[in-house]
Amino acid sequence: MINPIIKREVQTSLRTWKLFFSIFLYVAMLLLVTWIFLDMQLSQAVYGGFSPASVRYLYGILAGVQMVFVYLAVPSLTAGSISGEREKQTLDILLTTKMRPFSIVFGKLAAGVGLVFLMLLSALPVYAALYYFGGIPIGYLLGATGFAIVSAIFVGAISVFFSCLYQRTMIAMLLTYLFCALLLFGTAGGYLVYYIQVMNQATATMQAQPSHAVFYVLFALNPGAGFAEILVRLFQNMTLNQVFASGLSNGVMGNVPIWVVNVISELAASVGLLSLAARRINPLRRR
Amino acid sequence: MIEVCHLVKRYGKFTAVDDLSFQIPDGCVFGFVGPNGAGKTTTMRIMAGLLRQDGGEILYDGREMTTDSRFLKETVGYMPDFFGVYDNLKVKEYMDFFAGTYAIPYRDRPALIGDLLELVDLTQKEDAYVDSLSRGMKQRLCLARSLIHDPKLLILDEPASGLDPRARVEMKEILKALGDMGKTILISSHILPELAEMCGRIGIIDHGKMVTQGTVAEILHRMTKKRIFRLKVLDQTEQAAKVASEFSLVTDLVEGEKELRFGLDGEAAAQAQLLRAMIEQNVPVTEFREMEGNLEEIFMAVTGGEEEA
Repeated sequence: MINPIIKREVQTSLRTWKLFFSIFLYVAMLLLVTWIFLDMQLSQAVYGGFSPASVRYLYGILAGVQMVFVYLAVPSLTAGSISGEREKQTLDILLTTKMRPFSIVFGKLAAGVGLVFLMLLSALPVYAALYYFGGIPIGYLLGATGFAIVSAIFVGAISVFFSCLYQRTMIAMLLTYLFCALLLFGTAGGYLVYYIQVMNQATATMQAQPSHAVFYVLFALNPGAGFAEILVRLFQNMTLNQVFASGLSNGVMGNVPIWVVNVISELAASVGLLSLAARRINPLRRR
Repeated sequence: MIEVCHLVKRYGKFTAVDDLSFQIPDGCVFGFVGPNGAGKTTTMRIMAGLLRQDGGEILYDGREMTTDSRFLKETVGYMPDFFGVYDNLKVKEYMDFFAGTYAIPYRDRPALIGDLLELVDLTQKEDAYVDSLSRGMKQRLCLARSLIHDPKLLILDEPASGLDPRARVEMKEILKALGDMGKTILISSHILPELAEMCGRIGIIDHGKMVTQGTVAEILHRMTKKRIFRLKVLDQTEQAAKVASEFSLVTDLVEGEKELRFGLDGEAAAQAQLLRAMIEQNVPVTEFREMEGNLEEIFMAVTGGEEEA
């Protein structure tokens, strides 16, 4: 039986023009970027020949737009999931039904992410154009969308969690953006400070090396790292860890790509956040 | 049989529900009456599984409900005093959504939803958007929603509040029908005369404690210590008051505009004697009758007059 919340959210979303308009805008934006890029490349082809390898740059731009879109759209779709029910005075009724609190928060997340999933799928034909021009393996094309979907789940889980924590949708949304900014830029900044420190030390002692553990701990929940690695792999055929940790591969984690760590840790964190959110809305929980 | 035993709920130092106990026999419509802040809604929210109590227990046929949330949710249908509805959802879709929350099989839903909408007289509105319904219709829809899983106990918190007189009558008729169907119902309201008509038993709660409970007749008998009379006159109210005050069996005399209210300790003979005295003093009596005790007066008496707005 379909989770009734997913069914209801999809039913009501499809009833308004907003979703269709959003999909149209998103795909139109990607098409515009693609058109401008290809136009520039094809005009240069008259003199130097069109290089399929240059399509990689377009892929990087489109995948980047996709990730930014996920980070902007998901909180706006999910931050009101529980706080909105509270504001509309519908949460109490929902909590007296046989639905478990986890099913409620899961349904809310799935409905919000589902809409983003629909938009990401709508953009696949644009990626297909890149495949047509060559230079990008199909795995990368699907991989970027897959990675964006996992990121959407993670950001959505953060958003649903804050939505359970706070009464006001606006506060939940702002906190989600702040938390995501912290994950993206805070951890990257932290690692940069650490990296510079170790490199300075290395210059002095000729021995110090950046630690794999610090790299993985800081970037495990930073989807920007996984995304950057996908691009690095495409252009350099290296993992991000190899780039930052000077190609070291010692230790258990040494060769594990950060995008794999990202996917696993983000999905695990999403389950954890949803469990906490479910606990938060359960009126009979023991404090 | 629902048994609420020594229920306690505290918010910090404030005790909202204080050792509250009452029973509701199967198939009984129980009226829960009390002023604002008396603890009615808190009690109902605990019974609906929306609050955890600090003490006491709630038993259904001897089985503790609050520690078994699955059993509680199957047993109870709850309608809160304030509630919202979902935008962009039609009436039958709203009902279908809640049927889904109780995992009611898809094949059973159309007939079930049809029956419930018929019960609350919303069949004509099944394709209307929920947010386009009037307040009274939304209340009826919420009542139908609370019945979707055929609960044994219905908890209705002020179901008639905010409704116009016509909608109140419609709601009252539906609740009567539910009572006739044998549903056990706990209903709170500040419309006391309506509760008296509808409820088999009444409980009056104040400051979190049960002040009195029983059938309407029992409470009236218990609380009405003396017979109250109303005497209406064409004019000469002062003369009538003088005659009444000189009558030794008259107590608590209250003089109104062209009318008197007073207690009379005697039987029918005393009644006749007082009326004769009025006539002999040329008081133009237009009406002389014993007033029926009602819950409104009792409510005012036991709660110190703090009636709900």
